[in-house]
Amino acid sequence: MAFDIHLMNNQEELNKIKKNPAGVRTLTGTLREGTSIVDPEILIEYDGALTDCNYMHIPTFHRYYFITNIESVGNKLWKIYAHCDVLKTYAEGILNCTGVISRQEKDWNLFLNDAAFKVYANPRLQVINFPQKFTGDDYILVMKGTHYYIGD
Amino acid sequence: MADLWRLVHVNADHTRQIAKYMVEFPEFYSGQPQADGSASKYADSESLQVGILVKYEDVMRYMPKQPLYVRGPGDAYNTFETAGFGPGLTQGEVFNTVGERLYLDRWDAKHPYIEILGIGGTNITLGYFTAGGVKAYQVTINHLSTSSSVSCQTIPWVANLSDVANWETKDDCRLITGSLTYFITGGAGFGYSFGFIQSINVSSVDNAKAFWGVAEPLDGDNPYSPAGKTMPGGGRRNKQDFGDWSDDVTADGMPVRSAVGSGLISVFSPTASEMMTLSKVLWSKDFFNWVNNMVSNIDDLFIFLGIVPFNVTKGNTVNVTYFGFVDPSSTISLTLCSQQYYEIDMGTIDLANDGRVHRSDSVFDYSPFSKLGIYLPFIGFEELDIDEFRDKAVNLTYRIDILTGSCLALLTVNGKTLYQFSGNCMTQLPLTSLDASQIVSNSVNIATALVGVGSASAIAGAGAAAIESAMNRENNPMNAEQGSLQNARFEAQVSFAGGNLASATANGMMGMKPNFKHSGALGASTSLFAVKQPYLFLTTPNEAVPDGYEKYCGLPSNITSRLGDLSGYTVVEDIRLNGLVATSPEVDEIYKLLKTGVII
Repeated sequence: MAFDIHLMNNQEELNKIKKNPAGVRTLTGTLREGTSIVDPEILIEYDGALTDCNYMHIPTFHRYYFITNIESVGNKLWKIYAHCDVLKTYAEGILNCTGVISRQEKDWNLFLNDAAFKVYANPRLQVINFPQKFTGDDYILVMKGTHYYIGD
Repeated sequence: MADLWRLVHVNADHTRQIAKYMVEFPEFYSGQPQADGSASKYADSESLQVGILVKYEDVMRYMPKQPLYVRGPGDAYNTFETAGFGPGLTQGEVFNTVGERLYLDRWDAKHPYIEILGIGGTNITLGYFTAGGVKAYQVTINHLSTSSSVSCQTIPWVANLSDVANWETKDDCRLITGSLTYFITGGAGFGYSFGFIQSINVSSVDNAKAFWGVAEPLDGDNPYSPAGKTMPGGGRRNKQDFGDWSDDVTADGMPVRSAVGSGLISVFSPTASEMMTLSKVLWSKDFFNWVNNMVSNIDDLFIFLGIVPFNVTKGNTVNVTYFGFVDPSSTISLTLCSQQYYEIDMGTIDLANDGRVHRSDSVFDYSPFSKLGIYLPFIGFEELDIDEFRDKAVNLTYRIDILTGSCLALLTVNGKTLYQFSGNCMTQLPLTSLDASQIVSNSVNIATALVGVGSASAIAGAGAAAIESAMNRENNPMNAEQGSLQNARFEAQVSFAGGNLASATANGMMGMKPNFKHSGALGASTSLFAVKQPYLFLTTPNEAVPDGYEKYCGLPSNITSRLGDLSGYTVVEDIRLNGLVATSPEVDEIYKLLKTGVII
């Protein structure tokens, strides 16, 4: 079964769903040995170096792969070890799924408690005076047995 | 006077932009045409540069966080009213009442501020006060509201006037207190003048620092910063409230019945001279003989004498006799108190809109991170629940009975009297030797009690801190040394989701801080010497948030969403993965990755 291997170069974060790897070259060949489609090990013949590739896409397998290792096994022969990039491969399905989001970069609410919050040891201290205060003073004399009248 | 004066707040980016303009086009402020002799390039639409002069960025950290700009109605200098306002400072905030203050630095314990000292028909007088409340100087700004001229005032600012073109390298700068006037004449031309009313030479950065106080530059990337993203989105600081289902609780009116006017006793508020007259009569020979015959001792005449820390409402000045004893040579005039109960309103602090009150619009604004206390004269220092007070108006009212000196402080929050604290504000004065010995004895007892309470509270605080510290060490989730990198990330995520409060770093930091008593028993003989100014004491955490934290670690979200509707770093708490034609190990891996954190 002849199929294509698109060798690529990915410089984006490994945990990014919408990766945009750059294509490097496309190889066409036939699978001569059995291999996993999730963790494929593929022997290819290529006259050149593959050091500029760290990612690949095999349309026949419907998967994108991280290249985990490349072995030179002989003249023009390279063995590529890969692991399926499940995020890129199933990006469309994943993005259509709905879930509860615990942390987010742009849609957040800081009124939720968070074990990651950190503070300095020196807190802010503020004294805020009320507008009024006690002012003045007066004697208070309380007596009994008194009679009083106004004027003479 | 409404809307006559407004303050427009400008963020650091704006001022940097303006600084760039000012350095780049010196003819703007120098009053000279362009180098080729042509008229200035500044058209009306470019007048945004007017009103604010800034120095290079190194000085920014010594400048107030909220640069301000005064303008009158009808002018077009509102270019800055776009973004970047800090919390509590609203766009185009009205600033039009004598006594109103604008605090320049909202982040230190003390704040320099500008206060409106007076408002006239065409002018406004502003005073600049240092953080210590000392008026450094004042300036009067004229405002021509009806003509085509607009006068803008630079509030004291740092600028190098002698060599503006070299602002990037000069340290020598000056605090400007004059006005920069920009005249628009029908759009055909313009003129400007720059006059000093007063200026202070700032020969060194240290001088500028001392004048302004230390202020950190605005940090728009920090979500906890006033210019950060917390302010417009994410948090909803006014959401926490009592709600419509909560009833109001208010204290009833003052008592109607009182001892005053009962006839059984008489309550006077004598003046000092009246007290002297009373003394002379009491200890005169005739009166003393009468007392000796009629009553056993002077206690039978006097109930008590004391001093209250406020001016009571005076009634008539009356002539006083004792048991009908009338001696024309010893007539005593005393001033009556017209009421027994007093209500003194100490005013309201609006924690929602008072620019001095720090908030981060986050969980840090509430307990256990923030703490609130209140000092009540004649009562002491009391702790309050910050959750009940945050973003609300707090009114303090004292109710005082001058017959006993008992006082009750009522704290009312948004119409609900939630706290009542009692004390005594009467300083008793001895009339007899027995009174004197009792007063001294009471003072000693209070001092002894204070020492005991203070020691107990310090020991309790230290013990609680030690216990919590130990608990934090027990629960520390830092166990990332085992397992692969992916496992470590997953474990880290689990610790996020678990959210063990006891191990939360911020909570541990704030929670382990012991509370110390700020005052002991304030009453009776000591109360007259104590601080008579009630105040709130607010402690808020100093957040430590690396720039761009949300980009790398995310911030708490707790929403249900379709992943495709989000962007950026996302951590999923749980999800139903369906519609995927994937193998079981692949689905497991997707699940684990989503819980670890992915970038959409």
